[in-house]
Amino acid sequence: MTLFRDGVFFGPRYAPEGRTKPPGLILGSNIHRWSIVPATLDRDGYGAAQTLGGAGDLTLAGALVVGGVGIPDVPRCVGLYSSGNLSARTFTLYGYYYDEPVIVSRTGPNNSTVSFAKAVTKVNRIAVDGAVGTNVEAGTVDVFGFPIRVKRAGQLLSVSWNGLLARDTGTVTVADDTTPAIGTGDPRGTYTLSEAANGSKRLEVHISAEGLTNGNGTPSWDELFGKKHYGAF
Amino acid sequence: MAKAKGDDKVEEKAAVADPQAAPAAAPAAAPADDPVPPAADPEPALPPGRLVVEMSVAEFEAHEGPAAIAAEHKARLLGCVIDPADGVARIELERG
Repeated sequence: MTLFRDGVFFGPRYAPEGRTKPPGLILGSNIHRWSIVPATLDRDGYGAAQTLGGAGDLTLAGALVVGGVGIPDVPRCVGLYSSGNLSARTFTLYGYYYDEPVIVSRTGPNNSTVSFAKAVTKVNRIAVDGAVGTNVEAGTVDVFGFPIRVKRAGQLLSVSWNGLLARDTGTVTVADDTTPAIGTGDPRGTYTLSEAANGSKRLEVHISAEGLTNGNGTPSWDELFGKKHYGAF
Repeated sequence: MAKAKGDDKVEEKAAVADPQAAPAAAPAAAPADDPVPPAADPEPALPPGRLVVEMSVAEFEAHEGPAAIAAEHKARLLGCVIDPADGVARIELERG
């Protein structure tokens, strides 16, 4: 039996197709440890309350915006909040997941916070298809992007929140394997915490990775990392 | 494991309505050897144990999170899985 004393590195920063992968993914086995301490969500961290007279872009100048680009602490989804009913409007997010462009759209909130389906690491632009008569805010939500593809909840060997042994009762949205499009979900899947993040509590998840080989002894990048994001801009 | 599919609230209401309708339809002067109709149970007829409530993602988003759905069912939330492939949210609960 071959011994890999230092583990085996899968998923280099640049995969064969030139695709960018999450850095630092090192697997000594098929179990990947995902550990983050997410910051408290910032409801208007990208865009403060604002209205628009017609179709256009939200002004992004919140606390998480640097040089016109929104930067979350960890890969996480973008939320829209409004006390009004903006469900007739379609909002489109343009951002990045590491070096992969991401475009995703969804209907607006209705006296609620709604979340775009794809986790991002940069927010470049949020466009809307018409007038926004009631204030809308854009910021982070407690929905985080898995670093590798989770197709079934059974791949999550443990989900520990705040150091507890009992499994966190959060929401798993599994990877969307359909051909990526503007309205599809995250190609790796997302996790919604059972309670609000606060910058000190840790989410620690052990994931049984799939796609380490395609039957020929070579990794299947799509199975391991999900399909390449939709979007080029 | 009980499994409610689609609009679970509708199914629960139907379960409550049936026993209420039975006594009203019974004749006032029933023969003595007729069985006594059971009393109406105001609680939904879901047994203790684990159950999975399924609903569309749109319905799920209309609720205030899976914890609120668990409270509606007087159950403890175990977890929730959403599959974009079929657009269904599955909320895992435990009663009793």
